[in-house]
Amino acid sequence: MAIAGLLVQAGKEDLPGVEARLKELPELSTYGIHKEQYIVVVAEAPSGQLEQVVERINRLPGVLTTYTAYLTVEDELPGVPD
Amino acid sequence: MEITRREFLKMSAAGAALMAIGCPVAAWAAKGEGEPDRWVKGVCRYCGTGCGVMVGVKGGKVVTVKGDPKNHNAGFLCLKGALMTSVIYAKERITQPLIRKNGKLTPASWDEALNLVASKFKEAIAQHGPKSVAYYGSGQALTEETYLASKIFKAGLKCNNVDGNPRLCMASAVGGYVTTFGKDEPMGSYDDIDNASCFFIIGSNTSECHPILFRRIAARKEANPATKIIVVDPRVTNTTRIADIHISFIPGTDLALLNSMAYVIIKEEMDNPRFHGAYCAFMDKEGKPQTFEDYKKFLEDYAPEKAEKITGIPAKTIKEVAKIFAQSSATMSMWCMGINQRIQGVWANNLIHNLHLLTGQIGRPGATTFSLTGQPNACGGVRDAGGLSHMLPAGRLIANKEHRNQMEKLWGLPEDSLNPEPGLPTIALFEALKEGKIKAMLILCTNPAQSLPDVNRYREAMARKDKFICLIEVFQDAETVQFADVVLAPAFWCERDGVYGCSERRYALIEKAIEPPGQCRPSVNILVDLAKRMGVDPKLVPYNNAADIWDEWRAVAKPTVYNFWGITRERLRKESGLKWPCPSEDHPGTNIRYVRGEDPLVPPDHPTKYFFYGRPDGKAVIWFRPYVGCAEGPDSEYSFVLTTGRVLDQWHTSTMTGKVPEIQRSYPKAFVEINDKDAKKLGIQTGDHVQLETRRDKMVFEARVGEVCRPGLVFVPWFDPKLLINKLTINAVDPISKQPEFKICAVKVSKAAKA
Repeated sequence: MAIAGLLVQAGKEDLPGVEARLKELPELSTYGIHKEQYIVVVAEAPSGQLEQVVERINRLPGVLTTYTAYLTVEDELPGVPD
Repeated sequence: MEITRREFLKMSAAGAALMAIGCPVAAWAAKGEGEPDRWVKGVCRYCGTGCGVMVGVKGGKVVTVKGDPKNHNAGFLCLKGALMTSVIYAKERITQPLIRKNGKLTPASWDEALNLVASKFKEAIAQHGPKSVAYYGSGQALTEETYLASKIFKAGLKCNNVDGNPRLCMASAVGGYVTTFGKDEPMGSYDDIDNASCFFIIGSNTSECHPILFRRIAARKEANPATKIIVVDPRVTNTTRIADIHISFIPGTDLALLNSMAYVIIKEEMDNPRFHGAYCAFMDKEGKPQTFEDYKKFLEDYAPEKAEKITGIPAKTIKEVAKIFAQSSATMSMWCMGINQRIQGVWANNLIHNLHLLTGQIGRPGATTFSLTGQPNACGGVRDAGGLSHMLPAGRLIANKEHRNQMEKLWGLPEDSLNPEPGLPTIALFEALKEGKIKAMLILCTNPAQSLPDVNRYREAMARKDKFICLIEVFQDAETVQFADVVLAPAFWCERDGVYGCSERRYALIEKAIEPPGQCRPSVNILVDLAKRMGVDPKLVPYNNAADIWDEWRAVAKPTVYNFWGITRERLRKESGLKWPCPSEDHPGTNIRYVRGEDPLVPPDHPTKYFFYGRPDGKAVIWFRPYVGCAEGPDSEYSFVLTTGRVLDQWHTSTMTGKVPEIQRSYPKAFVEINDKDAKKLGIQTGDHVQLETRRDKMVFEARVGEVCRPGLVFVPWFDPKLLINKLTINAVDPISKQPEFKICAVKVSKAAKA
């Protein structure tokens, strides 16, 4: 499983609607609207599906684009101590 | 409160996202069990934006990558930058030297491989002279690697056949800056984005190719809704989503648009005579001095109604954008390959600069003319350090005796000992390989068997039995590996330290975070070892590591206008990048060049505010550059225009992004975009197989039908090694920059049977 900290950018008026749609996606937790532009989102997806999650976010009406601020894939690397 | 490790990681992820937008993160700041052992500062490996990254290391392995909040990207990364971990640990890594024996690459010792390479180069030089060998480098190599390789060949072997893949992407931008301002590299920086009130984006799909800069542009628009965004592109890309005006035009005609905008600006008295009268010279295309009145006469051919016939852009739109450009409080132009990869690339660059000089939209926060770079170190490494066939370090030219003599002194060589004849630029270099004139070539960190235009021609050249190619390459599945006689195994990205210089003149350090796998060695160590074995004077390569080379390079640049003496290794370790000029260790770096009080190279008592010190008369040039069409336009037989480019997450030849399962699943293969009206006429639907045929070759792609391409235009991304679109592109080059015209060639489009 990968965990990513994402910033979803949307127009000011679209933000509440976008946030509501994001909350409907099971892989995501949302952390509020910030700076009148961004919704902070954490995506938790099985290996190989993160890109599809981001694509799905990008396709939501009102979303300008999605940025990654953090990504960890440590579960997927052999030999990394827990 | 007890939290699980997974919860902690989620909090870290949210905390990093909040930090990126400057929000308090106290709740997430507590150190927990999931925290990496240490964070190591670096720079993203991909595009020329040069985003700062923090590499999280645990148990000696990279486990996490996050944006560096102190660098210009303020903690943001695009997805491909954040997914670097899978690339480092890809199973395709080359971990020991390989020598081709009986047609197969087989493991060898470093001694065996390096001795073989050295003997082949020595043999070629002994039998055919120094012109028979070459180095082909990369805008992804470290600055220290490019500087060193260039020195070994130019000073050690007296061979100027030193070129690199920036010739394919940025050479026209260099030509534009040098011919207009006298010196390469932009005068502005990314900070201008936060101050611009008009963005003129031409020939750049910023959203997909430079996503972090697109974010900053979108943020500027959001903070100041009056900001106008003009996007000039024959495709309706994701960048146009934030445009106030999107201008589609007939591909290859943008020179007419740019001249027409200049015509409108003057005709409607929106120019700034106080600026261009004091700080600009006018020149015709041969470089003969002209007057402003001559310029007005030259522009008569580009009245909007005339330009409309050439470009397909309504005259009304041309007038409107000219007005917005000139009358905004600060206009920032940005462009990329759509302008540079053209046979009139330098001229197109000049014409963008013309608009800024004519209106005085330059040298103020937000008012600047800014070339976006494709690779992470095309600017800092190849352009600045002199890794091209006509250049010496820090803007010096091989053809200039005074410049050669300066370098001979700095490098401890006898006077007049450097070879005065410029070497071969990329396409000419591979033509020479094809003709058997280049006998031995060293290729570092690039994949020409996929990235050259008309690539069948040059794959054939690389396949010659009598040539010798040594490749320093990270991945065994890179296309060029199949043509290599020896492959050397380098340390990759954060497995060694070195400097990258991005589009805004910012130098930043990638620190070593982990040990390289197997027998991999830093490329600077490989190059030093190889040079000594080739018989290069050991005094020319007295380096133990990249830091030694950096110190020499600082000294070499110090007497020039590239002066970055103050950017020491120690400062780079502490700070997240610094912008040159930076002449002393207490200098903070420069945001705006050529302006008194901003640029340390303009004396504080200089009598005027602006000083284009790269030019002999201190004046920038407004060039008369007539509209000239492309090398191979559509005709009755090949009736479409083929253009190529990037998609959001795949990068260049996908040797890196292709290792990331998430990206590979999203963009598994190349496709052809075709306009829905054209598709209807040809009976093509999305998912159908479509044959593209140019005068070079033909291939079949899956169709994506829609409104992205204008009618008559098709687009194919170039990342896919299984569908090498460069088999179809043309090798015609700009006469000044020698950059090929990847962006336009004629193509026949037809529906193909499904396999």
